[in-house]
Amino acid sequence: MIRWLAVVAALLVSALPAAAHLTPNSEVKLAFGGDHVSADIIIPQGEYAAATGNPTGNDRQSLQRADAYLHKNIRVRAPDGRDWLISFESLAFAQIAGPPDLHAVARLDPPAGAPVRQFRIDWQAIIAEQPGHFILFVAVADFAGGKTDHRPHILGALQSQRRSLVIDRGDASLWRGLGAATRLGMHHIADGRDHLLFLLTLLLPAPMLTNGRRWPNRRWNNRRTPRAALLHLAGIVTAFTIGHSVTLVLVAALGWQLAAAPVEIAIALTILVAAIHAWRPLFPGREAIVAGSFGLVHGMAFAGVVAGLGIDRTEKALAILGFNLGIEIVQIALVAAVLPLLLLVARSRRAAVCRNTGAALAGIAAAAWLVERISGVPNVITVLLG
Amino acid sequence: MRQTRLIAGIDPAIPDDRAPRRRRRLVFTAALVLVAIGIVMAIDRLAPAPAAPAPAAAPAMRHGYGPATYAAALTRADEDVLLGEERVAREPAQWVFQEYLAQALLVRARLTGSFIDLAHADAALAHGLASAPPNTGPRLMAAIGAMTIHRLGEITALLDAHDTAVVPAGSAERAEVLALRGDRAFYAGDIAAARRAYAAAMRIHAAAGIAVRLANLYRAQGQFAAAEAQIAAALAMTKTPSRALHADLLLQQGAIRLSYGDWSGAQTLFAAADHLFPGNWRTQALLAQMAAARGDTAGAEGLYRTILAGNPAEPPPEIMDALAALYRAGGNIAASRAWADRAAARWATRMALLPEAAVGHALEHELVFGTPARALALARQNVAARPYGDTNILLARALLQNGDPAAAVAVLARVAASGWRSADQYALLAQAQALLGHGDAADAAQARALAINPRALDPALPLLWFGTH
Repeated sequence: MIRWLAVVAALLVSALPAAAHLTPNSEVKLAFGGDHVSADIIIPQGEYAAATGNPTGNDRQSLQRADAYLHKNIRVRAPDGRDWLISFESLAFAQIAGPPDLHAVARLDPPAGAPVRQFRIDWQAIIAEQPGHFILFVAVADFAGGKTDHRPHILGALQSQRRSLVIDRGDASLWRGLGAATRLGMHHIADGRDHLLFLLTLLLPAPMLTNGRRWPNRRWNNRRTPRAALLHLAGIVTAFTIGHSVTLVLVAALGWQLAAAPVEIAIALTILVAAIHAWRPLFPGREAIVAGSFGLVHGMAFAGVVAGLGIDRTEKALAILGFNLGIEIVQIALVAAVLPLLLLVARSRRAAVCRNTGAALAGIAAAAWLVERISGVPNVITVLLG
Repeated sequence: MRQTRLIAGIDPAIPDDRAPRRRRRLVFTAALVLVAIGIVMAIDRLAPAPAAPAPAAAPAMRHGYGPATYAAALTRADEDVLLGEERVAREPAQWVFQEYLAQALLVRARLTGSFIDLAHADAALAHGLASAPPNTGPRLMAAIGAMTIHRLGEITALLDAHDTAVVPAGSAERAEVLALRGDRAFYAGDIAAARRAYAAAMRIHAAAGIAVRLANLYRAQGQFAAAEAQIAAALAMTKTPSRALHADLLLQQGAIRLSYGDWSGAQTLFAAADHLFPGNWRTQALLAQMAAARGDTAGAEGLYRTILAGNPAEPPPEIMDALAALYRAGGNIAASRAWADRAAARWATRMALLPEAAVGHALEHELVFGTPARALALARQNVAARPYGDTNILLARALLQNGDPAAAVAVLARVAASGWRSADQYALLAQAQALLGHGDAADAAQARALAINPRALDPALPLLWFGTH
């Protein structure tokens, strides 16, 4: 009896809790541009079907009905009451994540003279028929408003009892966006240990000349003059900048979607190769060419960060420009900080030890990142690196 | 000389020896890359591994006596109920027989989810209490029964009466009484009092049942590692658990995993429970919802339908609701409405039978398939019966549906003040704040929800009908 009490009673009273069931909700992601707003609308297919009784196929008739339903039930108005123009750029039933959805991308254009950052959304779709349904509105892009993170910011929500939402994004300017993009670039490169480590590792042997197989291990042998070393370092940094800028512009301008994993693996490989080069010269005298080539790879990672900033050409261009500026500012600061040290080390009796130690540490870090990025599992070194 | 060698290959007068050197460099580089990777892997192997999650599958262990399958357990439960009924029929005034019958009915109800059995157990216990001489009677069992059917109001009096029993209780029984007082405090919303009572019970007599309750308590506070540790402790305390108990503990652990978004870990534990104690419809329901969440709609539908077909006498309405939600997500509204209507009828029957026990489930049905006004009425009734975190979260949801986000925020603030920490509480708070136009507060609440459960906003979450907070 007591044993029964002790265990089964506990299970009786701690029965598996039922879920506090969520009904699937709709989401509207707004991206604010200079002259229009883009709305990415996701409505759970089941809720759409339950609310409208309409078919949910991707045939012409079903999509026409969906288009008509959305046009009838969504209005956007300027503060003076005039209607915005809503045009659907795409409309389809699709599986984005989880159960299927009705997915629409709409372009919202204000009437002439009306502000693009102030409007009211009158929304009847689904919530008029489904009292428990909930529409969440989030801002995903607002370059001129200085939003450069990729986190959606909640603007408000609607449901059957609240069917109007006033949006007021406040003041904005392209300068503000440019400044925010510059700060983003600075933060990204400063936080991007792998990018900086690559550059530092490549700079490590830069003040030295090689005999073809080894870096010099004596104090006065094969050292570049300070002027030559400086020029060589500048060449490496400039080549890296050109390399990553080229891919950054290309990827962002062409809207390519790159898988992050292969790019991250390639970046770890570039550091490993640079570390080996710092130990034993693999491409002596050609560091600038390698920096430029490997910069192309690093630029792909940068492109993922800058993608989605700005929704028209001007904003996209300014986003890329600002982001690149931020990267360059940090790079120049870093080179300025380490340059005297590099030149001093090159003249020191311990030049070889310093260079080999630096190469070994960079190599270990790169190998650890490589293993982590291939296996998908953190290892002790990447945990230590943070 | 060195300078000369440096420009080898550029000056045509100097022999070009770059090709073999390039090959050597290539081989050298490749070898170093491999060596470096090898070193990292070796270091990683030698170093202590990062804190690993609790073992996902059922640990191999010796099991104690008891049925090996759900069907065998049900047969035994049927036999016990028959024996109890026979004893009661012969001597209805013997409260010990009424208690035996009630216990057998509660065990069978735990297996089948039958509200009819729960109601019969309640009646048997009432008869037992009425017919018992002074200072005797099935008061402890009645307290357990009252807890099972969510009648908190009766529990303290029953336990107080039990403490005055003529026969002094042993340490295990005293611990169980304390644990029940802890349960009462927990479901009354007093987490601190519940923790104190469980700790006191554990000091008197450490038992698996108390560890399970502590797991529930930690889970409610968002302390998932501690909750899983208590499940492991419960398993260790039983030494040779029955297969049914072991499987139950795996289900509890899987439910904890769901709370922090480890769907894959939960699936593994549910599958292990199914392997250990096959045929349990609750386990099948959990597996069905996991199938639904990963997009295997046909598999989920098949499992739900099998469960319903397996219990034609009292088909569980929560399975009908889950099936209706599955059809709705797929856009099959006619099928969804048909199953939701059938479930509504069954919830109405259960509400008539045992309103306190049924109201929470009926409310969940109403929130998804019913009307906001009716949902709010049920939510208030539910909180009145058990004013703790889960019921208050459901009340907040009902308030939200009824267009009162400010009241929902107030309720959720009380939930947070009680020490309750769950992802759905903060996800709901984000919705309420969004409806109030408080974007920053909504962002903060959403971030907290995601910190507790990274899958708190997963579009497939509405398909998880069982075992989540």
